[in-house]
Amino acid sequence: MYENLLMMFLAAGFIAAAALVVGALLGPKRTTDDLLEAYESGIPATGTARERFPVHFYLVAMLFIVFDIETAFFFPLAVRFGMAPQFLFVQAILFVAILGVAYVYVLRKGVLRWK
Amino acid sequence: MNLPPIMGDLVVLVPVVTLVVFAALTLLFGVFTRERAALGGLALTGVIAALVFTVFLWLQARAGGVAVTALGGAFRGDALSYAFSFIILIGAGLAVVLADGHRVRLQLDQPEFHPLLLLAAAGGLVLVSAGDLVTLLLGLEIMSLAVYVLAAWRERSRVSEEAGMKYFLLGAFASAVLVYGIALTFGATGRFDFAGIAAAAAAPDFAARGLLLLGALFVLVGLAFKVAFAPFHQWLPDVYTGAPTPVTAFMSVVVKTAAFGALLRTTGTLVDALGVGPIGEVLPAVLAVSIGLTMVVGNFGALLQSGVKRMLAYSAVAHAGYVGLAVLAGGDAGVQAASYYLFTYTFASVAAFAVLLSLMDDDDRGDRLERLAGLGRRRPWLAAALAVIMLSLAGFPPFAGFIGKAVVFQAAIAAGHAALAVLGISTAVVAVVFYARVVMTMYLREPDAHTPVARPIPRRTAVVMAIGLAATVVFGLFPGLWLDWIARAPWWSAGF
Repeated sequence: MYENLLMMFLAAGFIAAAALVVGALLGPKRTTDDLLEAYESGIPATGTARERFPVHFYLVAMLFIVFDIETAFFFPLAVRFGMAPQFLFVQAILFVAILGVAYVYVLRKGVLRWK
Repeated sequence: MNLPPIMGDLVVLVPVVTLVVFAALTLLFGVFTRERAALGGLALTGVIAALVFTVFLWLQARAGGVAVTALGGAFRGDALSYAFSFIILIGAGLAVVLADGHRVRLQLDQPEFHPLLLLAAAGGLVLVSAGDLVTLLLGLEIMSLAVYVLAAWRERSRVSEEAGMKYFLLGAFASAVLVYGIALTFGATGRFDFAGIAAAAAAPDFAARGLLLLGALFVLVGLAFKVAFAPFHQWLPDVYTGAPTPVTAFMSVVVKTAAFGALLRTTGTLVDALGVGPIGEVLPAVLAVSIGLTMVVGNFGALLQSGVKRMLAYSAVAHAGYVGLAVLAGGDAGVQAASYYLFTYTFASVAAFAVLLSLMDDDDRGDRLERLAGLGRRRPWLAAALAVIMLSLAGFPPFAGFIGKAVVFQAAIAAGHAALAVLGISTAVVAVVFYARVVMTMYLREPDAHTPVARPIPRRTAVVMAIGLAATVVFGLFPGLWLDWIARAPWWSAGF
């Protein structure tokens, strides 16, 4: 049963190794400044990516998670709602109440107040 | 409304739900008002309410004599889960009161602090009540995520940030190992629940014993990290030293008790499932080596420390080793011995950190032993309290620490681990040295001009110390109060 998995790992490893080796052997060895850019044909990069960014974003991330989790939970619930309507309705209300706490918290922390 | 039958007896979830509801209330209260002083009280109310519900369920279960389950067996209400939930909630309550007494000085009055404490305790309850490995993992993560943040609580403190970061990175690694072990165990048996794993392994045509052993070893490593068995203890001294002292007290009781509850249940199931024979001997042997190492490393590590907080951290490793003897002994006797040890350790540990808090600087730094010089004359009551706690932790009669060590060694010898018990007794002699050093510094050493004066003790901290001291003495003189109560419980180890 695991032989197939092993074959897949070997094949994947072979292809990855082959791509590197063949590229190194046959590829032209020209380097220009443009080729070494992170985005070769994009806008020029400015500065490093390891900058400090405002801690305010953690609140935005929380807001995202609140609504993201809500949809992730509600789709399967909607599909199966007919199984036990009352039970699932109460469950959905409880779930929204818990998310509501997080939502109210983020609002009170000033997620929508941009300075 | 008709619940699907798989939901089971949902009433066993009430203590956890209570903690979560109070966490939400405390959080909302914290962001809507500026009344910071009430947060600790609200959190304490939640812990006490959960404690009352736990005791009620426990009494009900004793009367009924059967374990109840909820959510398709994922959540269990049995003797182990109630006993350990009880200990966790006591520890959480004491830690909340301790934090409240020093909340302004240590910046513990942000609205997020108490909800995180409550959620960590709720995770602990899930951990000790888990009936399958997935719920166990869930409980572990609920608890750990909250504690990672709490460890890094002190703002603009390098050591606190380091503590949180270290704990998070190593904890995430340990969780990954645990998940891998759970996957392998599932691969071997096709089941996540403890009863199912035991049943699958007991089947006559069970062939995947080697795979199950591999899974069991990975699960053991993941949990050994949380209880700080050597060689997975390295995070502990740094994290305990860097975290704010009330959080350190919380970790040393709540996190430790919860992890041991899970470890007892898991190793109990897995050792039985692996059975006798060469494969079955590997897991106990690995556990024995690790526990022996833990006792040696913890005690000798504590011997080398010059800071009291760091010494207590290493001694926490050593105590994990002693509880580990009970885990290795297994069975009802092992679980009962471990529960007594952790119950009394909870009081002693919180009281020790409470005394320490009133000796350290305003910024929660400065724990050198020399600070205690002359404390016996300058603050006789404080010194006497610390002396009793130290003697109990060292294992002197008539205090609870002595009985704790006695029942643990007894359980280990009865289970045929006499050599390890002897090692435990020898390392306990080493422990006397560093505990006695604290007592001798307080009473025999003269303070010099640089010795700081201990700050006045907030009344709430004094209450924590008094409870800790009283329990250390009472449960030392009358160990039957806990041991008989536990032993008379219908002990449902069959379901592990």
